Amino acid sequence: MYWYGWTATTLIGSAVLGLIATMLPENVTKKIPLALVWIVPVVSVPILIYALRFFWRWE
Amino acid sequence: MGLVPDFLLDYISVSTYWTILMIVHGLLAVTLLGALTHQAMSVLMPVGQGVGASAAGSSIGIVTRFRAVQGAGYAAAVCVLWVVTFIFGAWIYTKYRMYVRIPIEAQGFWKTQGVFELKEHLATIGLGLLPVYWLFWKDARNPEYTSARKWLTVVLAAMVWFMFLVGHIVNNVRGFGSRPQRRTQDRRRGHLRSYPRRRSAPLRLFARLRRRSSTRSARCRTGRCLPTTRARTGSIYSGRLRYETRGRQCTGTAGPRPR
Repeated sequence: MYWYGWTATTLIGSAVLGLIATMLPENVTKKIPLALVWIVPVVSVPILIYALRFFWRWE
Repeated sequence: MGLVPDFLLDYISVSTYWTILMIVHGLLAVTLLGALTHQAMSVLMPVGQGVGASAAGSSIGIVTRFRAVQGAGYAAAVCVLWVVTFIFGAWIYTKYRMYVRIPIEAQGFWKTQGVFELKEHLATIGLGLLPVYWLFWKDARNPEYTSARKWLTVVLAAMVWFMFLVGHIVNNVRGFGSRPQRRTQDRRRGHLRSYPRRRSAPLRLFARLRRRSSTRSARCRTGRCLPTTRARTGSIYSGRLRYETRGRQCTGTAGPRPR
């Protein structure tokens, strides 16, 4: 059941990070590329696959 | 009241209750899949203004009509459907964790289990992406968001397709139609296997025929049948089943029946 905890942790963490991001000055936020919104999830997939390497076996 | 409301159990069984939840989860997933696929197609292959206006006409192909939708109109529906589907998935996850995952692990379907783990992670990541997705589509005319909105929609659509297919696979492995099993000890693997696999119908037929044939042969070899006993032999190796029931003498070699 750790998935519930994983979900709650990520939602709380992302909410806190989002609040902090709203406090950043505009000249800083303008420099953050919007493409990171979809690039980060795509990049996270290979990391997740590696983290789940326990399941990629043939026995 | 736990995960199953008590008053419902006066009318339906526990199994029916979870089945209904599973079906609702699946229907919501299908709706979400359709909405996001429409939206992704509309941003990947947008149609021209004139084509979009006449897309309802019969002269336009089905693919053009499929992608000639106003993507912004799907954004709120996608957000709501994702959240509701997620809630239903999290609800039936309790049942899955005990009655599906454990047998899957016990049978050694590790890769099936692994892709389902990945599906869980992607569902949560997608849930976290919904606010920015909604923001991008809310201000759909802002050219600054065009590229990010397009690719974020495509990524979400790919996630939903993956999750949908993986859900189907897991349902095929251990879902509807799974018969109740008894606990048996898998001596070959050295660990407890709670749910042994059932052999396919042709294998069961073959085993039944072989068992019947060997029993009859053993009976004849021991001479326990009369010389006039008619034998029935069957072979599935020759491509068809042969039955010989007339004029066939006992082929036993153990001599006459002991008196």
